[in-house]
Amino acid sequence: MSQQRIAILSRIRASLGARGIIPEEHAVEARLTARARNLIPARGQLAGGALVTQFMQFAVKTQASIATVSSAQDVPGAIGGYLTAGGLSGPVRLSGDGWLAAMPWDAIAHFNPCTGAVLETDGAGVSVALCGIAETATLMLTSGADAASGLNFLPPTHIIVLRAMDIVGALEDGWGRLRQAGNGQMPRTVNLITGPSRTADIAQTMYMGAHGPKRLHVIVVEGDA
Amino acid sequence: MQRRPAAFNANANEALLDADLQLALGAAETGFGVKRRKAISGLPEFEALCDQAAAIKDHVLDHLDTYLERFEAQVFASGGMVHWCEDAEQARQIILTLCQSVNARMVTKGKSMIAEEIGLNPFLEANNIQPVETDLGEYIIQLADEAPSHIIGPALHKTKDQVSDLFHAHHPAIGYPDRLTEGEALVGEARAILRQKYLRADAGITGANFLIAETGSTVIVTNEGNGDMTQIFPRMHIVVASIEKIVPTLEDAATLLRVLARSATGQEMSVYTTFSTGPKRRGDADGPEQFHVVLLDNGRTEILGGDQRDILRCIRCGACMNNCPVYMAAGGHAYGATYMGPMGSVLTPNLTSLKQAQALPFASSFCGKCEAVCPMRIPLPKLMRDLRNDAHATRITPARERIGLALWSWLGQRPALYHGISGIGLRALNILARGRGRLSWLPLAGGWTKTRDFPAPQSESFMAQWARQRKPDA
Repeated sequence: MSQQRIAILSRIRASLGARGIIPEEHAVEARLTARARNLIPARGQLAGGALVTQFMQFAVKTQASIATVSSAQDVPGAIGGYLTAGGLSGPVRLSGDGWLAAMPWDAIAHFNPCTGAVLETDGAGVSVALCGIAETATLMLTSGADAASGLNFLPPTHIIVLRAMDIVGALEDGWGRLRQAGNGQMPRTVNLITGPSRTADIAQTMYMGAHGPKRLHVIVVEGDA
Repeated sequence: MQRRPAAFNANANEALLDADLQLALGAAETGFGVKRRKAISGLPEFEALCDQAAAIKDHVLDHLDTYLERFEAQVFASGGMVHWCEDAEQARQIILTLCQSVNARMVTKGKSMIAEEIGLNPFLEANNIQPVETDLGEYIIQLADEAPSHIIGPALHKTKDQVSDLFHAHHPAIGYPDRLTEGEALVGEARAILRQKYLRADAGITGANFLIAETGSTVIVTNEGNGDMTQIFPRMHIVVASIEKIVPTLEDAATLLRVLARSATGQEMSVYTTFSTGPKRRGDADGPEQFHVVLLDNGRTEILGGDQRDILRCIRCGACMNNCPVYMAAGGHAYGATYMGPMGSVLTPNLTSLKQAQALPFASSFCGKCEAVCPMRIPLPKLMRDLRNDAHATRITPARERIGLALWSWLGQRPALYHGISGIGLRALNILARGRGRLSWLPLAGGWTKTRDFPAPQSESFMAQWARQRKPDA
């Protein structure tokens, strides 16, 4: 226990004491255990098909583009179509996600889909979202053995694949998914991504692609369980 | 501009005559206001969320010691380290020690006001470590060797032309010979240069918008993605944050996030909100091998016990300065301190001393807009008024001002004398105005009449008119 730590904590206690605040450790314990939700706006309380509809509608407002496919088998084709339409090139760096690995990438072999460490020369990165949050069209991505955070930032085009059934209403619903997925353990990095990278640091004018991806494309997979 | 708060008045005069600065501020003023109003109109629950957000921070401040201990325990449990620092010097030293432990020559930095507060960059440079700012605004002002003029838009005072000149002064030496004039090209050039830095840096330093006690996570909120590349690629991630950034749970963070971006840039969510918990896990595809949180007090424990405590709820959204007529006329550098605008006018005297910074609480018209837009319900005009009272009571305001106020107060308590003297004054002013309704010259008011006319008062005071018009009924 460092001397500085003791000094800071005792100054806090003296300041709280001077204000007549009686320390209530159980209040802290209770709040950390209860993890109670505060007010959740109506726009974060949708259910069923309305979740997907609002997510797609808001995603466009964040300058992302979005498409739906009916099955995971259609994802590589949809990515190929998106890259071709935008005049974009590969290699297409896939995260290590098992769901992606099972998709038929041969269909877009000319875009050189590959896994492994992300490189500066990659044309696009493809990741899988843990969930999508309809309240703000935010995507939640977590790091892990099969998911590098760098993939979400380095390539100029970022493609996120999301199961329609993983679209939830509010950010709090996303926390529920996160706790469930990690069995209570936080992954090293949780990225909440809402649109492509941008900056307004030059004369208050918005320019896309500041440091992260210039383009964000979301593919919602409707069919698969 | 002088970088000391005492020079506010001189700095502000200089700022008003700076055409480039006025151009830059003009663009900012309209942009911020419109975007914030639009974002809030899309969320009917906004005001209720602000009440809850303020209550969360008040609860944290009431239990700050316990929350900091919980946060520390969680950082430790996830494999990270917490370093407690009482002041700027301790924080600089520990960051240097950490950087030297990995033989760092170059470190990338995400935007951090705490790093500005402790003067980290010049210190690292003096110790042969090159800090590279990666937020575009911070990168621009690092090239210009200036301080941020706004807490979320550090280069807000620069015009596009000035950025072109700055890049053209620095970039030819590293292989970019042309002077670019298009914004997109300027952004692209900085992007290309900084990409080389992320991948080569020995350590990455970021700030934190929030520290989550429940999980031991640090949170950054950005639009560019630089803060993420700053922490993902180097071996070591150092987070520098002040102690009041604590938030209890992820649920509480959700509430604060709902009001932060809307108040700041008028977005519903910023593009990247990132929760970092410890170093990379065994088997992880990427991430830093070491994770350190440098916790800074630097006077905050003192503020906690005093009557200016409300300022510790601040989440650094910048809404108060975006809506401040004084900030938007004088710009951020006029404040001569790390923090500017209304929140800076309160925080700076509390972090340094009221004696050094007494000019700042007077840099307000008390229009009340800052309090109206503050998502954390900080009564900024009241806090500034209290600081003015303290400055007056402790005799650190100018003697001339105190004598004037004492004289006014003495006179005000003697109504007959007051009406007599003010009646003479009114007549005198009217004679000087010669029926034009304004005065271009006035004794003892040269500071006013140098740049504008002084409006002449009515020839008779309200009290005199009242007395005269009541006479027939009496």
